[in-house]
Amino acid sequence: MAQNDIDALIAGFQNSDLDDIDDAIKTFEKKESDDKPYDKEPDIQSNKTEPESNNLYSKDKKVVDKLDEINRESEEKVNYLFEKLEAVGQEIEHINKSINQVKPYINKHKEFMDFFVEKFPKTVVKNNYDYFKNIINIVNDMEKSVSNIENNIFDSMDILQFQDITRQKIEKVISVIKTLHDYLDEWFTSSSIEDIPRARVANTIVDEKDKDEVDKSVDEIIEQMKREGEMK
Amino acid sequence: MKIITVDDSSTMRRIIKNTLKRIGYGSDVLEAGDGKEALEVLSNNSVDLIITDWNMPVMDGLAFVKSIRSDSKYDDVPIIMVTTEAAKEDIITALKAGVNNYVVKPFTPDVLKDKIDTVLGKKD
Repeated sequence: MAQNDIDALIAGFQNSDLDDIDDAIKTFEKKESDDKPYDKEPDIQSNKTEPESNNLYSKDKKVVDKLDEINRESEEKVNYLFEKLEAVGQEIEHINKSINQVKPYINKHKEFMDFFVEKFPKTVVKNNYDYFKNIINIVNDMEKSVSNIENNIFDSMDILQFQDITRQKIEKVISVIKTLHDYLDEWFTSSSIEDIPRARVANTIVDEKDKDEVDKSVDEIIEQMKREGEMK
Repeated sequence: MKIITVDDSSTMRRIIKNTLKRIGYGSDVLEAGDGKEALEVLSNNSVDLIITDWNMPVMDGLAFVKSIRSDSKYDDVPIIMVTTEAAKEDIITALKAGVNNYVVKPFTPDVLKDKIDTVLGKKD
């Protein structure tokens, strides 16, 4: 009960007759009960039941379902992100094509300008030639930027592999929950879980910092098995 | 050159397809979500290279590789396994089952190109 409520109640007592005091108490009690729904007595008469109050099976399924949902959602979003990156990639490809279409004309014009400047080495011609060389530099810079953007898009696409790796980590958690559930189920109940077909859970998920070392050892194992004739 | 990529993650299939395109092998790429689906795709298509994940539902990569290697029709088709599994015993199991090369996720385009060039005999 907050100090404001206490003050209001006291003020009610001071300024009212007995009937008013009864009303004030009733109003206060109603407010209290509305504010604290958890204090209410359970409604035994009604048909409403508390959701899965002691049903471990449904709780477990809910966690697993939730994790599956997270996996599905993240895969959807990553695919959406992939589409967006592909769209940017296509735009960049289009710009690249346009630059490649323009470049032969620019080069041809440069050849002409080179010749022109040589034959007419006047200041006006020379200034024009400098402006033109600036345009060539801008086009070259654009070409470099396009190439950088392209590489960054490709790198971003590669990084999206994290989704599959995270998905497999979540699958591992699901597997632990299921094992725990089965164990408890065996002890306390006799029901079994109907389940969707799942992938084998990954035994090892490589830490990024160990990746180079792992790649090297994969190559070594392959070489060794080739030498020993153990590969089919 | 026709390649099939088998992975239950649609994201990974996209990434592999995209990587193949970048490294010059992406002209014709088929897809399957698990080993069983891949066998169905292969019954109607011939391919020059198989790139498969290991951990998949319905039919996993290892069972798929064993099934492929039991059919002489696919004797000349190289298989690369692309998976998160990095334990030595898993790599040996896969190689003994008939996998020609092995890539641990996450991979870079350079690594995949290197492995493809190796299994196709374009590299010593």
